Amino acid sequence: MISLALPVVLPLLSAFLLPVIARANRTTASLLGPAVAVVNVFFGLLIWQSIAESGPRTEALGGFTAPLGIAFHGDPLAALMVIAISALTFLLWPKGSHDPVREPVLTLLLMAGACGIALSIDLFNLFVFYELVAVASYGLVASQGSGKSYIAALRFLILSATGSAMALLGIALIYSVTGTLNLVALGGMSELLLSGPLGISAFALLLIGFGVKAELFPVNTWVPEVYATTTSRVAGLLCGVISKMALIILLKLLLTAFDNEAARTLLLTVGILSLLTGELAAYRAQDLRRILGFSSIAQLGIVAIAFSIDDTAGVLAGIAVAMHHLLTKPSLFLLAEKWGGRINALRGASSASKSGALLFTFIALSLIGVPPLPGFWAKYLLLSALFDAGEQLHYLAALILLMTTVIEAAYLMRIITRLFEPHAERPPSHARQELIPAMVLGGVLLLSVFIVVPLGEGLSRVAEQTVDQQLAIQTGVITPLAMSNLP
Amino acid sequence: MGPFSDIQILGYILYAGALVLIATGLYLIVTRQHLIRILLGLTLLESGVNLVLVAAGFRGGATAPILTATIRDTASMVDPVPQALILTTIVIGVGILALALALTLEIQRRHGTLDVRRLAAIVDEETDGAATKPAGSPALSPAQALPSSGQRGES
Repeated sequence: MISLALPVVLPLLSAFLLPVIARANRTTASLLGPAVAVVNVFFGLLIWQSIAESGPRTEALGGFTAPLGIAFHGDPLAALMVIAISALTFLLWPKGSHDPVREPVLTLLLMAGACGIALSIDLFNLFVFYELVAVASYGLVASQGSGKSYIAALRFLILSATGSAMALLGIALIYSVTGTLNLVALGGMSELLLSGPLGISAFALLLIGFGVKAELFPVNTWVPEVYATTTSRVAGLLCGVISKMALIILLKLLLTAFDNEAARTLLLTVGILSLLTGELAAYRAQDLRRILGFSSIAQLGIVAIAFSIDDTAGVLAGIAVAMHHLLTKPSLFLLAEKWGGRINALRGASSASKSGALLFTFIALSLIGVPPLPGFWAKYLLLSALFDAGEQLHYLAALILLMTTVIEAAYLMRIITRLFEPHAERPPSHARQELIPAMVLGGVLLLSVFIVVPLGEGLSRVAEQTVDQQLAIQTGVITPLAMSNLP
Repeated sequence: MGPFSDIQILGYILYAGALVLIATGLYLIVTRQHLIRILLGLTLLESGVNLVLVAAGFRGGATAPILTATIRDTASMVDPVPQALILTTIVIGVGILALALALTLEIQRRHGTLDVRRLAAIVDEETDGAATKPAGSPALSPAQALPSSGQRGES
């Protein structure tokens, strides 16, 4: 049986070996990173298979069990995320960088941290992996090497580090109330200890902290700046994978430690505000990459709304929207790399690069949610989950979701019109090999149109097991040991 | 002795100190425009949060959590877990501060200013400008907006 720690250990190990290997042989070093990403995809598939055979399992690292040790928990959602993280990292691998060490090492650390977030169920361990991802992403944003990318990276760092300090304060509050940070153990006592005002303040602090990477309102001011200055590949990784992982931390918290109404309402409110502000800002922006950044704020707001619903249907809708966004937004960023700049400069792009313009149109239509594309099904799942949940705030969320879809359609259509407008000055066209990663992502999206029924069934099994497993854990045997039970 | 024992007072001092540090740190981060002062605020904030963690594991009259062959009585020790946690967070904090200072140095070298408002204006000007400038002002060509895209295509 495959160890759950492997998808974290392998990229970590190779990240620190890479500088040494690069000194001996540059070709090996440049191949190592992508190879590790591919191997990690296989690890994810093996974990998926072993979970499908024998059910989700918890693994205590180094043989130390809770509460002293830290545990990894493998469930279908974790396996799915490991596969998605590694596959996307492979597709978005930094190409043609002059330095064979810096960017690959940071990307490997980013991948290790993201996989760690997917698998860990210890709150402090989640925090450490989150910080690992954060530091790697500051470095990647700055690795562009231009003056403005340094500014963007530092401003991102200040906001994110402040948020992390707030999250740590939340963790300290939780620890001082409960005496444990194991999510399983916290789930068992959430009713007693964490549903009061102190628990809600702790959740609010965690929401501020993890909300920075999850691009949630109001701590998402870094998004337009960073996405407009960094490379498309880094922007794709940040909005495709890292933001999802931050939301998955919040989902884990909601399913275990903060399984109460107040925490859900808080996340729902923040999600609605993100959705609304994101779409309105995207409508107003003139720079293609800023528009995509604001649109991703809105999409993550939708995921937050979905995760806040106290039902399997909500988790299912959240996973569906998250996976859809994970496929679409990075490919849009990749296409935008060549076009860049103001959307008025996009005129005539279709005559310069027909396939690029068509791919952009196809993906943008799915993002809006035109049936029968997958984006439609994701939004449909969320709408039906919202109507089933039946609280007033849920109806408001559904209404805003429908309204903002119109706004989204308006600004994406504006871009598409520009692409197909005939114009004398053409923006640079895409070289064939530059289109490949975006093509692959678009291909997966197209494929999912035809397998939408089995895909939906598979995802709902994932959602069921995510929720069930956590419920099973909550009533499970693990109880926090008092200090006096130490050896 | 007043209504509080010495131990309780010590606990309150810990939390009060942490609160002061956190408040000062947040105040500096929010109100200051100079990067170094913001980073100072960040350091104060992190210290305050670490102090909260220490206070969470504090026990009056307890000893350091070191197990030996003879001392196995954990009930009279302070909680070791928060201490292990803050070791980690201190290391993370130092790393992030070093990275932030390196970036600050590079920014000072390239732009000659450490005022965050002016720096933010520089980024806005070079990328979007939609909010500040009317359309038709010297628009950036994609090549300018993406200085590395040309090199990337060739390499």
